[in-house]
This record gives sequence, C-alpha cells and structure tokens, in this order.
Amino acid sequence: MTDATTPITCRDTTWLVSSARDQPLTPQQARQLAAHLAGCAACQVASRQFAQLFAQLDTLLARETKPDDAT
Amino acid sequence: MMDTARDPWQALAGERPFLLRLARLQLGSQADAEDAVQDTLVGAARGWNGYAGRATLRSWLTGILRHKIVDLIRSRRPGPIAQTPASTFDGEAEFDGLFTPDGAWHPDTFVDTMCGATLAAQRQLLDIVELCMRRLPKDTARLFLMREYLGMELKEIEEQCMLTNANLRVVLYRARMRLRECTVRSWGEPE
Repeated sequence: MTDATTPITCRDTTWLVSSARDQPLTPQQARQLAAHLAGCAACQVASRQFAQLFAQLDTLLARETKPDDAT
Repeated sequence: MMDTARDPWQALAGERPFLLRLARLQLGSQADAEDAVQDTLVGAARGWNGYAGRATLRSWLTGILRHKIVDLIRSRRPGPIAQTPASTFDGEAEFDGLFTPDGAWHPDTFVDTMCGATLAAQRQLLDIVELCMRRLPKDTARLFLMREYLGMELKEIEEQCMLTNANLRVVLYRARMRLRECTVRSWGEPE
C-alpha cells in the first residue's frame, strides 16, 4: 500500500535537509529525498547552498574542531 | 599562526567583540555574556602555551566559550524561553512566498547563487553568516545556537526550554531557511 518512494515536494525537501542536521533521516525519508533530488535542478542548487551554509556555520561556531581541544 | 607571535593579550582582546556577540545571542543577558567571555579570555591566557596555533585563535576561543556557556545554561533551572512572540511558533507560513502552492520552488523568488564565485575570502563568508544570524529573532537565535553551537540534543533543549519537539523543530527549520535566504542573497552581491 505504501509506496517506498512517495514523491515529495521541494518544500518537503527543505524540511528534510534541515532535519538531517539534527537527527538521521529514516531510510524512507532518505529515499524520498534522494529520489526528489535526482530529478529537481532547483533542489540540487538549494541543497548545495544549505551544505555550504552548514559548513560555514561549523567553521564559525568551531564545530569542526574537537570540543576537547579546548581547555 | 601569526597570532602566537603577537602579544597574547592583544590577540585575545581582538577576538573579544566576536565572542561577546556570540555569548549575548546565546545567553540573552549582557552580564552573563560578559562573565562567560571574561572567563574564556582568562582561561585562554593561562593556557596560552598549550594553544600553540593548532586552530585559528577565534575557533580555539569559540570552543572554550562553548564550555562556559553550556555550564551556565545547564546550571539554570528549566524554564520557558524569556519572551516568546506569538509569531515564533506560528508554523512555516512566512516561507509561502518561496514556494508555489503545490510546494515547488517559486521561480520568481528562488535565488540560485552559489558561494565562492564572487566572495573568495573565507573570513568574509563567515562575516555574512554571522550577520545573518544576528538578524534572527532573539529566541530563535538562542534555540538555534543551543543546537548548532552548543551541540545540545533536541531532547535536552526541549526540556530546558519547555518546548514540544514539534515546536523546536519548526524553530530550527525557520532559522535555517532564513539563514539560507539571507546568505545566498549576500553571495550574489558583487564584492
């Protein structure tokens, strides 16, 4: 009954990209996200933009250095 | 790093404004922010020889400050976040303009700029992110930084701030959506 990859919208995609930063996506969510990204040029751009933003946040907030580096 | 060649106090003082802005965003209280930053700088001065330029000075200090802020927040009694404007939790309606009614990116409002093309300097890119972060509503910034800076798990934030999981996730979503909008628009501006 439930299709493993029920299509999702671009808007749903932004929600999943944000959620994935907090907790792992379920296998079904990951499949839905991958399937949508594969066919959507705008979301490919947006998810790269999010990735760049998240990388910059990690640097700005010193998340890429191990917390134990600090005294 | 060149930083180590300078007078430690001078180098540390140069990072104070950034640390203070970060602590203020996170703690709300100016006095608490001053204390946390002061502790950080004193601790860093004491441990200066151990620093030895492993990371940039700013990220080393940002890491130390993180511990001070986590301790402070955990020592506070759980309570709802100070001022909760009604709009903080009213869902995702503010992003309606970004999408078509059926949930696709709206071609009129979608910004497809990637970073790197016009703004090469890493420091400049980070300044943009910081500026955009400072434009977030106060409570949003606090919750966002508990997650993104302090690295607290959602559950702990929910308990500390007396929020439901659904509310917290919407706040984090909105913060990231706003930051994306804000940063991609700056990436598109000529240097």
